[in-house]
Amino acid sequence: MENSRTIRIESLWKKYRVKTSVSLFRPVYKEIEAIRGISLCHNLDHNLGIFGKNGAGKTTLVKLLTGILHSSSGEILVLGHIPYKLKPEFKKQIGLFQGGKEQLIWDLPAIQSLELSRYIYGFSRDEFKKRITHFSQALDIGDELDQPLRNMSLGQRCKMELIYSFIHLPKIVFLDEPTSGLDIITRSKLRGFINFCHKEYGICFIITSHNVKDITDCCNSCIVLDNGEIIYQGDTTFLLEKHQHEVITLSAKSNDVAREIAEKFGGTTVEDEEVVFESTGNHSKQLICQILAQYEISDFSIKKKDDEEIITEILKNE
Amino acid sequence: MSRYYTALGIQTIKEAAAYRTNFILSFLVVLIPLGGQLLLAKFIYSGGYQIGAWKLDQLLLYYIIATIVSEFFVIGTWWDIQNDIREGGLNYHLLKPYSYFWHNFVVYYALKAVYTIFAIIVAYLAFIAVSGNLVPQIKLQSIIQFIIMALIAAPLSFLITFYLSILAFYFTDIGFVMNFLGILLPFASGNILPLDIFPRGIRGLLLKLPSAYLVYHPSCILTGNYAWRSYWQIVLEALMWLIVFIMTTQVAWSQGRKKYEAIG
Repeated sequence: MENSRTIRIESLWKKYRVKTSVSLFRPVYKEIEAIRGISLCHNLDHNLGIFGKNGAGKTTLVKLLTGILHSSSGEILVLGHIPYKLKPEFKKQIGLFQGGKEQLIWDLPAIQSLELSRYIYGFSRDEFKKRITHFSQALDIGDELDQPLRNMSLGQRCKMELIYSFIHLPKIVFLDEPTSGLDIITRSKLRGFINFCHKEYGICFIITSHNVKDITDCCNSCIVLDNGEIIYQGDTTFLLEKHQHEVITLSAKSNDVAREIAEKFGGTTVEDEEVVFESTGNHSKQLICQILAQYEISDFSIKKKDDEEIITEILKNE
Repeated sequence: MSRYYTALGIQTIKEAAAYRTNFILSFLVVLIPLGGQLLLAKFIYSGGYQIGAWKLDQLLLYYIIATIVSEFFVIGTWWDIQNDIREGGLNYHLLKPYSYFWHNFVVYYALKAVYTIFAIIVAYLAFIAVSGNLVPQIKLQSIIQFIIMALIAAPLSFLITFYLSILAFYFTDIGFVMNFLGILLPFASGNILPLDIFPRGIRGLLLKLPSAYLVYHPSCILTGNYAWRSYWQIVLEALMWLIVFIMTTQVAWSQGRKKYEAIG
């Protein structure tokens, strides 16, 4: 079936009505457009990252795609299903993880809660053990499985919740802020785990995160949401390269020479005998060679912007 | 999915066992009001007075049975569902291929089953203490009639609880409903006093409310003290309430789902 491995969205709108004035008799409501007429087609062979500022509509989009929320208008098809109908055969093919929200039983050893999943999705005890072993190795989990959730650290709980979200090996897993509140090592481990599950089990991950690396490390494709609209849709590497800037700093003999270089070669700032250039693409080497051929330069440095700086800039400029 | 509900029920009981202090307190929660009711009834009757048409032995048995029945059937405060709706925990449940209604039904009665066992132990000890007998005089026919009634009261009790909890789709805070019911229900269900002793107007109203079919009528059926009314009439009325709540809950759920904002 053509639709079986895709997400299709057509002119999707989601409006909320929020109370802006609390009054006993005549409360005042305001309509907020969380998603504004977006269209999207995504092949589930690739993970998809969703970038956006707070309030851009990332989580709302995830809730619409999972069927938790009903759209105001427009069409959504996920794996050939209309999500909002929440048909059991659709629910068996998806998983959801929301950072900071727990679904496992707090007072029981994690393994007992996790075992409930095999009754929900109907797989054998042997298969359950196999998956747990596999996931535990990938996430570096040891005896913690036998501990109640309440005795675990945030990172450990997060790992357990992640396992519970896709131990049934669904086709799509929605990860909403999966690494929020976690330390660098645990974050990196989780990213490795996501990539492992994508390769090993063919699970497609749809990730929203404020940690840019979560998306750049795990998703080939991405969309950038701003104020409920998609402002970029495509390849993640292309997006980063397109907005990549190199910052070149050259130290000249004097302020006058620095100013002359800046004027001649298009420098952006001059200060304390230093000229700063911002270059897109691979022109930095060429530019430095040209300047070195004509001027005496005591020092120079080239700094590439990291992914987080690039995404921050994209979001700031919109 | 039945294997899941069985496993869930067992897990809920295990989870309840994690709070051992609650078990000890549950003895007191049952013992103190029941002890008070039994002592008060004995005191009143010793002065030559009578409560309604109830003989002392009948009334003591009614209180003991009503204590057990109310532990199992009376509408509970079900904050889990409200919190799921208010704080977005419902998201996870909606995406699992089980019914949210039956999931909560199992958890609700698994917990109630645990505490009802404690209520039975306390009530039985109280029965021995006040009657001096080891076996209560209950007819086999009454037990069968009670079981039939219980099969209606159990889903009715949960449906009412579920309906009240999903009002959280419509109101920001439904704590006031739960608090109000917490005060009203012990009276309206017949837990504090048998409903037939109330003045005619109030009695007429209370006997027709769904709460009467959860404690008062089942307790009367088990004590055999309902001759003033046909057993099948009671069962039919209870069935009618069951149908009303099935329909109301379905509408409230499907409309509420559309209003749900999945906060968080």
